[in-house]
Amino acid sequence: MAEVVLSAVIFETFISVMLIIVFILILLKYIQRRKKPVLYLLLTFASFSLASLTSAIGRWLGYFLGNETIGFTDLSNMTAFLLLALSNCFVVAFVETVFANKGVDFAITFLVINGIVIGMSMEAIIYWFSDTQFGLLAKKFYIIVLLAIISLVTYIILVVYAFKEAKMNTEKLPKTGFNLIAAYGISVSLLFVCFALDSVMASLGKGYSPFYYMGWSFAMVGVFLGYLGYIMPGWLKNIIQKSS
Amino acid sequence: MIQAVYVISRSGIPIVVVDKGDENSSFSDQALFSGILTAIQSAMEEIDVGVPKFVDTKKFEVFIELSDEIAVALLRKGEIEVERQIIHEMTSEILQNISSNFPNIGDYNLLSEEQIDEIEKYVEEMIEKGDKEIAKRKATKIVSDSFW
Repeated sequence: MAEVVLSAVIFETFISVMLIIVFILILLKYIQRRKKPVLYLLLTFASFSLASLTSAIGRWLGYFLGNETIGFTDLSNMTAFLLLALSNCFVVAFVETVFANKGVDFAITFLVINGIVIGMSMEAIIYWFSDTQFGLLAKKFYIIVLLAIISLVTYIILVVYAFKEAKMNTEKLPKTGFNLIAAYGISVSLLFVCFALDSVMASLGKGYSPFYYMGWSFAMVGVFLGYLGYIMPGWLKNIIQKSS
Repeated sequence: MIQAVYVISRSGIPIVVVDKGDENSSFSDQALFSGILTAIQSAMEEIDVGVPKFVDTKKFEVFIELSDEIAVALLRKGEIEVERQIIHEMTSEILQNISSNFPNIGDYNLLSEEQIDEIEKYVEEMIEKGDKEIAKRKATKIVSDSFW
Protein backbone atom coordinates (compact mmCIF):
# COMPACT_ATOMS: atom_id res chain seq x y z
CA MET A 1 0.00 0.00 0.00
CA ALA A 2 1.79 3.12 -1.29
CA GLU A 3 -0.54 5.52 0.47
CA VAL A 4 0.63 6.64 3.91
CA VAL A 5 -2.09 6.80 6.54
CA LEU A 6 -2.19 9.80 8.89
CA SER A 7 -2.48 7.63 12.02
CA ALA A 8 0.92 6.08 11.16
CA VAL A 9 2.48 9.54 10.77
CA ILE A 10 1.15 10.68 14.16
CA PHE A 11 1.96 7.41 15.91
CA GLU A 12 5.57 7.32 14.76
CA THR A 13 6.15 11.01 15.46
CA PHE A 14 4.80 10.62 19.00
CA ILE A 15 7.05 7.61 19.71
CA SER A 16 10.08 9.41 18.23
CA VAL A 17 9.49 12.29 20.65
CA MET A 18 9.21 9.82 23.55
CA LEU A 19 12.46 8.14 22.50
CA ILE A 20 14.28 11.47 22.16
CA ILE A 21 13.15 12.50 25.67
CA VAL A 22 14.45 9.23 27.15
CA PHE A 23 17.66 9.63 25.12
CA ILE A 24 18.18 13.12 26.63
CA LEU A 25 17.57 11.76 30.15
CA ILE A 26 20.15 9.00 29.59
CA LEU A 27 22.57 11.60 28.17
CA LEU A 28 22.19 13.64 31.38
CA LYS A 29 22.79 10.48 33.41
CA TYR A 30 25.95 9.79 31.38
CA ILE A 31 27.23 13.34 31.92
CA GLN A 32 26.67 12.86 35.68
CA ARG A 33 28.21 9.41 36.08
CA ARG A 34 30.46 8.72 33.04
CA LYS A 35 29.98 4.94 33.27
CA LYS A 36 30.42 2.46 30.44
CA PRO A 37 26.99 0.77 30.78
CA VAL A 38 25.29 4.19 30.56
CA LEU A 39 27.32 4.95 27.43
CA TYR A 40 26.19 1.70 25.78
CA LEU A 41 22.57 2.39 26.72
CA LEU A 42 22.93 5.95 25.44
CA LEU A 43 24.20 4.65 22.09
CA THR A 44 21.37 2.09 22.01
CA PHE A 45 18.74 4.79 22.50
CA ALA A 46 20.55 7.15 20.10
CA SER A 47 20.31 4.54 17.32
CA PHE A 48 16.77 3.63 18.35
CA SER A 49 15.64 7.28 18.36
CA LEU A 50 17.29 7.90 14.99
CA ALA A 51 15.62 4.78 13.55
CA SER A 52 12.22 5.92 14.77
CA LEU A 53 12.81 9.49 13.62
CA THR A 54 13.96 8.34 10.16
CA SER A 55 10.86 6.18 9.87
CA ALA A 56 8.62 9.07 10.99
CA ILE A 57 10.24 11.48 8.50
CA GLY A 58 9.66 8.91 5.74
CA ARG A 59 5.95 8.79 6.68
CA TRP A 60 5.70 12.60 6.72
CA LEU A 61 7.31 12.89 3.28
CA GLY A 62 5.19 10.05 1.92
CA TYR A 63 2.03 11.55 3.35
CA PHE A 64 2.59 15.08 2.03
CA LEU A 65 4.56 14.50 -1.19
CA GLY A 66 3.12 11.14 -2.25
CA ASN A 67 4.79 7.77 -1.89
CA GLU A 68 4.25 6.14 -5.31
CA THR A 69 7.06 7.24 -7.65
CA ILE A 70 9.42 8.06 -4.82
CA GLY A 71 8.92 5.42 -2.14
CA PHE A 72 10.02 7.51 0.81
CA THR A 73 8.75 4.92 3.29
CA ASP A 74 10.81 2.17 1.59
CA LEU A 75 13.99 4.19 2.07
CA SER A 76 13.13 5.22 5.63
CA ASN A 77 12.25 1.63 6.61
CA MET A 78 15.56 0.28 5.31
CA THR A 79 17.51 3.06 7.06
CA ALA A 80 15.59 2.29 10.25
CA PHE A 81 16.47 -1.43 9.98
CA LEU A 82 20.13 -0.49 9.60
CA LEU A 83 19.99 1.72 12.69
CA LEU A 84 18.10 -0.92 14.68
CA ALA A 85 20.78 -3.50 13.87
CA LEU A 86 23.35 -0.95 15.06
CA SER A 87 21.38 -0.42 18.25
CA ASN A 88 21.40 -4.22 18.81
CA CYS A 89 25.22 -4.14 18.79
CA PHE A 90 25.16 -1.66 21.69
CA VAL A 91 22.58 -3.78 23.54
CA VAL A 92 24.99 -6.72 23.24
CA ALA A 93 27.81 -4.53 24.62
CA PHE A 94 25.52 -3.49 27.51
CA VAL A 95 24.55 -7.09 28.36
CA GLU A 96 28.19 -8.18 28.16
CA THR A 97 29.41 -5.37 30.44
CA VAL A 98 26.69 -5.65 33.06
CA PHE A 99 25.71 -9.31 33.12
CA ALA A 100 27.58 -11.79 30.95
CA ASN A 101 31.27 -10.83 31.45
CA LYS A 102 32.29 -13.49 28.91
CA GLY A 103 34.36 -11.22 26.67
CA VAL A 104 34.47 -11.14 22.88
CA ASP A 105 33.33 -14.79 22.55
CA PHE A 106 29.88 -13.84 23.79
CA ALA A 107 29.47 -10.78 21.59
CA ILE A 108 31.02 -11.91 18.32
CA THR A 109 28.10 -14.01 16.93
CA PHE A 110 25.60 -11.22 17.62
CA LEU A 111 27.87 -8.58 16.12
CA VAL A 112 28.44 -10.65 12.95
CA ILE A 113 24.70 -11.29 12.39
CA ASN A 114 23.83 -7.64 13.04
CA GLY A 115 26.68 -6.74 10.67
CA ILE A 116 25.03 -8.91 8.00
CA VAL A 117 21.72 -7.07 8.54
CA ILE A 118 23.54 -3.72 8.26
CA GLY A 119 25.22 -4.89 5.02
CA MET A 120 21.92 -6.11 3.50
CA SER A 121 20.14 -2.86 4.47
CA MET A 122 22.96 -0.82 2.90
CA GLU A 123 22.67 -2.82 -0.30
CA ALA A 124 18.87 -2.23 -0.33
CA ILE A 125 19.37 1.51 0.24
CA ILE A 126 21.84 1.70 -2.66
CA TYR A 127 19.38 -0.24 -4.83
CA TRP A 128 16.60 2.23 -3.88
CA PHE A 129 18.60 5.13 -5.35
CA SER A 130 18.70 3.32 -8.72
CA ASP A 131 14.90 2.83 -8.71
CA THR A 132 12.84 4.80 -6.21
CA GLN A 133 9.50 3.21 -7.19
CA PHE A 134 7.46 2.23 -4.10
CA GLY A 135 7.19 -1.44 -3.19
CA LEU A 136 10.38 -2.79 -4.73
CA LEU A 137 12.02 -3.15 -1.31
CA ALA A 138 8.99 -4.99 0.07
CA LYS A 139 10.47 -8.12 -1.52
CA LYS A 140 13.40 -7.74 0.84
CA PHE A 141 11.25 -8.46 3.91
CA TYR A 142 13.76 -11.21 4.84
CA ILE A 143 16.01 -8.40 6.17
CA ILE A 144 13.50 -7.46 8.87
CA VAL A 145 12.83 -11.16 9.55
CA LEU A 146 16.56 -11.72 10.17
CA LEU A 147 16.73 -8.50 12.20
CA ALA A 148 13.72 -9.62 14.24
CA ILE A 149 15.28 -13.04 14.96
CA ILE A 150 18.62 -11.62 16.13
CA SER A 151 16.89 -8.85 18.10
CA LEU A 152 14.60 -11.38 19.72
CA VAL A 153 17.56 -13.53 20.83
CA THR A 154 19.47 -10.46 22.07
CA TYR A 155 16.56 -9.08 24.09
CA ILE A 156 15.58 -12.51 25.45
CA ILE A 157 19.12 -12.81 26.85
CA LEU A 158 18.69 -9.38 28.47
CA VAL A 159 15.31 -10.46 29.87
CA VAL A 160 16.68 -13.73 31.31
CA TYR A 161 19.67 -12.00 32.96
CA ALA A 162 17.48 -9.19 34.35
CA PHE A 163 14.88 -11.60 35.77
CA LYS A 164 17.63 -13.74 37.33
CA GLU A 165 19.17 -10.66 38.92
CA ALA A 166 15.78 -9.50 40.18
CA LYS A 167 15.14 -12.94 41.70
CA MET A 168 18.49 -12.97 43.51
CA ASN A 169 17.97 -9.53 45.04
CA THR A 170 16.21 -9.22 48.34
CA GLU A 171 16.17 -5.39 48.35
CA LYS A 172 13.08 -3.90 46.79
CA LEU A 173 14.73 -1.16 44.69
CA PRO A 174 17.10 -3.34 42.59
CA LYS A 175 14.46 -6.06 42.42
CA THR A 176 11.94 -3.62 40.90
CA GLY A 177 14.60 -2.05 38.67
CA PHE A 178 15.64 -5.37 37.15
CA ASN A 179 12.03 -6.49 36.73
CA LEU A 180 11.31 -3.26 34.83
CA ILE A 181 14.40 -3.78 32.65
CA ALA A 182 13.17 -7.32 31.91
CA ALA A 183 9.69 -5.99 31.07
CA TYR A 184 11.31 -3.42 28.77
CA GLY A 185 13.16 -6.28 27.03
CA ILE A 186 9.92 -8.23 26.56
CA SER A 187 8.18 -5.20 25.01
CA VAL A 188 11.05 -4.57 22.60
CA SER A 189 11.13 -8.28 21.66
CA LEU A 190 7.40 -8.16 20.84
CA LEU A 191 7.96 -4.96 18.85
CA PHE A 192 10.40 -6.79 16.56
CA VAL A 193 8.07 -9.79 16.20
CA CYS A 194 5.22 -7.47 15.17
CA PHE A 195 7.40 -5.54 12.70
CA ALA A 196 8.54 -8.79 11.08
CA LEU A 197 4.94 -9.98 10.76
CA ASP A 198 3.86 -6.58 9.38
CA SER A 199 6.66 -6.70 6.78
CA VAL A 200 5.54 -10.15 5.66
CA MET A 201 1.97 -8.81 5.36
CA ALA A 202 3.26 -5.76 3.43
CA SER A 203 5.09 -8.03 0.99
CA LEU A 204 1.67 -9.62 0.33
CA GLY A 205 0.25 -6.14 -0.36
CA LYS A 206 -1.45 -5.70 3.03
CA GLY A 207 0.45 -2.75 4.49
CA TYR A 208 -0.39 -1.14 7.84
CA SER A 209 -1.73 -4.40 9.21
CA PRO A 210 -2.76 -4.63 12.90
CA PHE A 211 0.81 -5.85 13.56
CA TYR A 212 2.13 -2.43 12.57
CA TYR A 213 0.05 -0.69 15.26
CA MET A 214 0.72 -3.43 17.79
CA GLY A 215 4.47 -3.09 17.15
CA TRP A 216 4.48 0.66 17.76
CA SER A 217 2.27 0.19 20.83
CA PHE A 218 4.86 -2.22 22.24
CA ALA A 219 7.52 0.38 21.40
CA MET A 220 5.60 2.99 23.38
CA VAL A 221 5.18 0.69 26.40
CA GLY A 222 8.82 -0.44 26.08
CA VAL A 223 10.20 3.12 26.05
CA PHE A 224 8.19 3.95 29.17
CA LEU A 225 9.34 0.79 30.95
CA GLY A 226 12.92 1.51 29.87
CA TYR A 227 12.59 5.01 31.35
CA LEU A 228 11.31 3.57 34.65
CA GLY A 229 13.85 0.75 34.81
CA TYR A 230 17.02 2.53 33.75
CA ILE A 231 16.46 6.15 34.74
CA MET A 232 14.33 5.27 37.77
CA PRO A 233 12.85 8.71 38.49
CA GLY A 234 12.76 10.06 42.06
CA TRP A 235 8.99 9.56 42.47
CA LEU A 236 9.31 5.86 41.60
CA LYS A 237 12.21 5.44 44.04
CA ASN A 238 10.05 7.06 46.75
CA ILE A 239 7.15 4.70 46.06
CA ILE A 240 9.45 1.64 46.15
CA GLN A 241 11.20 2.78 49.31
CA LYS A 242 7.93 3.59 51.07
CA SER A 243 6.44 0.21 50.18
CA SER A 244 9.50 -1.58 51.57
CA MET B 1 38.03 -15.27 40.33
CA ILE B 2 39.32 -16.63 43.62
CA GLN B 3 42.65 -18.40 43.05
CA ALA B 4 43.69 -19.68 46.49
CA VAL B 5 43.01 -19.55 50.20
CA TYR B 6 45.83 -19.96 52.72
CA VAL B 7 45.19 -20.74 56.37
CA ILE B 8 48.50 -19.82 58.01
CA SER B 9 49.77 -20.12 61.57
CA ARG B 10 50.97 -16.87 63.10
CA SER B 11 54.53 -18.24 62.86
CA GLY B 12 54.15 -18.39 59.07
CA ILE B 13 53.56 -22.11 58.50
CA PRO B 14 50.76 -22.99 56.01
CA ILE B 15 48.18 -25.16 57.81
CA VAL B 16 45.72 -25.60 54.94
CA VAL B 17 46.13 -24.38 51.37
CA VAL B 18 43.42 -24.67 48.74
CA ASP B 19 44.91 -23.52 45.44
CA LYS B 20 42.43 -23.49 42.52
CA GLY B 21 44.85 -21.77 40.17
CA ASP B 22 47.75 -24.21 40.58
CA GLU B 23 46.68 -27.50 42.11
CA ASN B 24 50.24 -28.85 41.80
CA SER B 25 51.87 -26.02 43.73
CA SER B 26 54.60 -27.45 45.96
CA PHE B 27 54.68 -27.19 49.72
CA SER B 28 57.90 -25.19 49.51
CA ASP B 29 56.18 -22.55 47.33
CA GLN B 30 53.26 -22.41 49.73
CA ALA B 31 55.59 -22.21 52.75
CA LEU B 32 57.61 -19.47 51.05
CA PHE B 33 54.49 -17.42 50.29
CA SER B 34 53.14 -17.88 53.83
CA GLY B 35 56.51 -16.99 55.31
CA ILE B 36 56.93 -13.84 53.23
CA LEU B 37 53.39 -12.71 54.04
CA THR B 38 53.96 -13.27 57.76
CA ALA B 39 57.34 -11.52 57.59
CA ILE B 40 55.75 -8.46 55.91
CA GLN B 41 53.03 -8.38 58.57
CA SER B 42 55.55 -8.71 61.41
CA ALA B 43 57.81 -6.02 59.95
CA MET B 44 54.95 -3.58 59.50
CA GLU B 45 53.66 -4.33 62.97
CA GLU B 46 57.19 -3.82 64.34
CA ILE B 47 57.61 -0.37 62.80
CA ASP B 48 54.10 0.52 63.98
CA VAL B 49 52.42 1.22 60.63
CA GLY B 50 49.75 -1.42 61.24
CA VAL B 51 49.12 -4.88 59.82
CA PRO B 52 48.21 -4.89 56.12
CA LYS B 53 44.76 -6.31 55.33
CA PHE B 54 45.15 -5.96 51.55
CA VAL B 55 48.18 -6.38 49.28
CA ASP B 56 47.96 -5.56 45.58
CA THR B 57 50.61 -7.09 43.29
CA LYS B 58 50.76 -6.97 39.50
CA LYS B 59 49.37 -10.49 39.35
CA PHE B 60 47.12 -10.92 42.36
CA GLU B 61 45.20 -9.15 45.05
CA VAL B 62 45.80 -10.63 48.51
CA PHE B 63 43.14 -10.18 51.22
CA ILE B 64 44.34 -10.90 54.76
CA GLU B 65 42.42 -11.43 58.00
CA LEU B 66 44.12 -12.17 61.32
CA SER B 67 43.26 -13.64 64.68
CA ASP B 68 45.60 -14.35 67.58
CA GLU B 69 46.09 -17.91 66.40
CA ILE B 70 45.93 -17.87 62.61
CA ALA B 71 45.80 -15.73 59.47
CA VAL B 72 43.64 -16.33 56.41
CA ALA B 73 45.00 -15.02 53.11
CA LEU B 74 42.82 -15.09 50.01
CA LEU B 75 44.34 -14.60 46.57
CA ARG B 76 42.37 -13.55 43.56
CA LYS B 77 42.89 -12.24 40.05
CA GLY B 78 41.00 -9.16 38.91
CA GLU B 79 40.76 -5.61 39.98
CA ILE B 80 37.11 -4.69 40.03
CA GLU B 81 36.56 -2.31 42.92
CA VAL B 82 33.03 -3.48 43.68
CA GLU B 83 34.22 -7.02 44.39
CA ARG B 84 36.76 -6.04 47.04
CA GLN B 85 34.24 -5.47 49.80
CA ILE B 86 32.68 -8.86 49.14
CA ILE B 87 36.09 -10.59 49.31
CA HIS B 88 37.02 -8.76 52.52
CA GLU B 89 33.76 -9.96 54.09
CA MET B 90 34.35 -13.49 52.86
CA THR B 91 37.96 -13.69 54.11
CA SER B 92 36.79 -12.47 57.50
CA GLU B 93 34.02 -15.10 57.56
CA ILE B 94 36.52 -17.89 56.81
CA LEU B 95 38.77 -16.70 59.63
CA GLN B 96 35.92 -16.47 62.14
CA ASN B 97 34.43 -19.85 61.27
CA ILE B 98 37.77 -21.69 61.35
CA SER B 99 38.74 -20.01 64.62
CA SER B 100 35.44 -20.87 66.32
CA ASN B 101 35.10 -24.42 64.94
CA PHE B 102 38.75 -25.41 65.58
CA PRO B 103 39.73 -23.74 68.85
CA ASN B 104 43.01 -25.70 68.96
CA ILE B 105 44.14 -24.45 65.54
CA GLY B 106 46.86 -22.31 67.13
CA ASP B 107 48.59 -25.55 68.02
CA TYR B 108 48.24 -26.79 64.47
CA ASN B 109 50.43 -29.87 65.00
CA LEU B 110 47.62 -31.33 67.08
CA LEU B 111 45.10 -31.12 64.23
CA SER B 112 44.08 -34.55 62.95
CA GLU B 113 44.01 -35.49 59.26
CA GLU B 114 40.20 -35.43 59.43
CA GLN B 115 40.24 -31.91 60.83
CA ILE B 116 42.62 -30.73 58.10
CA ASP B 117 40.33 -32.34 55.48
CA GLU B 118 37.33 -30.68 57.10
CA ILE B 119 39.01 -27.26 56.94
CA GLU B 120 40.00 -27.88 53.31
CA LYS B 121 36.44 -28.88 52.41
CA TYR B 122 35.04 -25.81 54.16
CA VAL B 123 37.49 -23.50 52.35
CA GLU B 124 36.60 -25.07 48.99
CA GLU B 125 32.91 -24.50 49.70
CA MET B 126 33.62 -20.90 50.64
CA ILE B 127 35.57 -20.33 47.39
CA GLU B 128 32.62 -21.62 45.39
CA LYS B 129 30.19 -19.55 47.44
CA GLY B 130 32.41 -16.46 47.10
CA ASP B 131 32.64 -16.76 43.31
CA LYS B 132 28.86 -17.11 43.10
CA GLU B 133 28.34 -14.16 45.44
CA ILE B 134 30.66 -11.98 43.35
CA ALA B 135 28.84 -12.92 40.15
CA LYS B 136 25.50 -12.29 41.85
CA ARG B 137 26.23 -8.92 43.37
CA LYS B 138 28.32 -7.50 40.53
CA ALA B 139 25.48 -6.80 38.09
CA THR B 140 23.37 -5.18 40.79
CA LYS B 141 26.30 -3.06 41.90
CA ILE B 142 27.16 -2.01 38.33
CA VAL B 143 23.55 -1.03 37.50
CA SER B 144 23.09 0.72 40.88
CA ASP B 145 26.30 2.73 40.43
CA SER B 146 25.58 3.52 36.80
CA PHE B 147 21.88 4.30 36.85
CA TRP B 148 20.07 4.30 40.17
